[in-house]
Amino acid sequence: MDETLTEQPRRARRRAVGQMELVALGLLVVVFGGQFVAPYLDGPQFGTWSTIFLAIVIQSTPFLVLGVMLSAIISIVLSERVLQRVVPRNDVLAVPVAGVAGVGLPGCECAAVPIAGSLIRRGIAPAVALTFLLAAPAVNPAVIVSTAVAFPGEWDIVAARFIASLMTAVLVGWWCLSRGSRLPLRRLEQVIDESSSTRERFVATVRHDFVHASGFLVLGAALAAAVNSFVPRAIIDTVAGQAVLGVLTMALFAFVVALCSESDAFVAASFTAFSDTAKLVFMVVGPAMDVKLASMEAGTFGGAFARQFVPLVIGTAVACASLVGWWLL
Amino acid sequence: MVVAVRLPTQGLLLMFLGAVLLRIAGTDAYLRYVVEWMRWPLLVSGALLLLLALGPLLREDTDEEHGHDHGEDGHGHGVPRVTWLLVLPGIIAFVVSPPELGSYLAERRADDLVAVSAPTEATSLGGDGPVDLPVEEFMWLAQVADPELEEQQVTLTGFVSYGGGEDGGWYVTRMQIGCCAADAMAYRVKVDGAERPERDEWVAVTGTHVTGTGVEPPFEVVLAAESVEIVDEPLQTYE
Repeated sequence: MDETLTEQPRRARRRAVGQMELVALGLLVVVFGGQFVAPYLDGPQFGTWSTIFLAIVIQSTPFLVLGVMLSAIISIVLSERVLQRVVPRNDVLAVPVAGVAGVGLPGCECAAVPIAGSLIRRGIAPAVALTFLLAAPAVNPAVIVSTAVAFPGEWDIVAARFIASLMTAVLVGWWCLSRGSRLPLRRLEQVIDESSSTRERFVATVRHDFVHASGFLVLGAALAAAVNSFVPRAIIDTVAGQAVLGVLTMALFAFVVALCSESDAFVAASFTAFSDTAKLVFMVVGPAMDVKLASMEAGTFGGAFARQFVPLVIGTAVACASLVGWWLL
Repeated sequence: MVVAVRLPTQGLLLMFLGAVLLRIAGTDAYLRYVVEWMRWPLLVSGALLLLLALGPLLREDTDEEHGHDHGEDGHGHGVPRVTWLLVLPGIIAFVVSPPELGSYLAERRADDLVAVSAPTEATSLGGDGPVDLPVEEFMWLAQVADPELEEQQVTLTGFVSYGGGEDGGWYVTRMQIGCCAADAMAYRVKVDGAERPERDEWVAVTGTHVTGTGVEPPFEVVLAAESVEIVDEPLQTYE
């Protein structure tokens, strides 16, 4: 702390070279020395955690790569004119349109975060982009099909999930719209200035978006894997009989286990002790918000925003799912 | 305080993650974590990450040649420090090389009621010899009390997991994943009348269904064993 201002840049630069070499050395040690450490780490608890952790990371990474590629296309390639033609000028109307547009992105929730970021960067109203972010993982065809397979013959559950998820996305979108500029969103800027070539800007945007989201994805995966392998489901089943507590528990569980929206229906179906409404809450909260998404959103849109957005989405999702469940199921 | 991730190091971290994806998808190891069709997406995104890493890594080289006269190296806006966590998947993959899910998770999930669904293509029963059945299909047939199951010799293949307590019996077990190992469910059938093997040992158990078991919750199906054979672990351990 006692170094002078003139000394600081030089020291920093020297460290820049050193850092990369140190990390490279560390990685080499891991790659070639790992096998000698492995026998000491074979406890079944740690093994299970690491399997689930690695599974979540490698399941999500291709979707995140897809997401950052699409987001770079939106940021760099799509012309102003195309964008304006697709998105309605009236923001109040654009929110439900964005919700329904979510049907077109058959991916996991990880892909949606960078896409929403790039839409905001291109000047789309944040409320519209965030509606898309919430709707896309929950209402796309892959999710609808897997829900129908998990609940064979129970079309009311499939319909209820679609309606409740869309409702959550649109309501949260309108709330964001009403907050307008008071939304504590981090300013998102074009990654690289206009002077460089399109290819350079494309690559730089892809890298920027990936680096900004992937660390948070790993953090979320580590937490979700811990819950998955160490919290026995029997604890959750003890509250199955109670209507309100059951719903709240399922909402919390959906948040902490952070399942992929294409497979959470199978897990929901296995909670046979719970009411259909509680299962619906699980399937509506999960794709809209979980620990992995909250972590990535804090990274992309800023912590202040996430602190408001996360509880709001969970609250709205629980309310919508309960309402639709009471009406349809 | 954690040091900020510099641009060349970012390249290194991306390269490491890409290498992990390629390594896992390049062998059959990926089957422990995700479903089969994920192989190509993993290979493609691994290769893309390597390409993405080239930029910052090569830029580092030019900086060396120019004697560091580029100053701050073009990363004015900070990269979140969480980015360091990108080394974690690689460390886990290379050091631990996590195994497929086994008895630890199956036993922890023992009290879950798993949803058994009708098989997409039913195995034909009947005939004299034992019929190879998936564990889930056997549980389904027991649950719907299929009359064909009575007296039918079947062979179930799976790993061994134990019941609760000092001698809570043992189960022939298969895990099933929908998307990735995070959503795994354990399907298990209790084996009666045979010495219990070691945990996580792969066995082929031949026997007949104990009529009446597995119809009512908690759907514990019992197989009266005639023979238990230790077998090799299959390539695809999930059902």
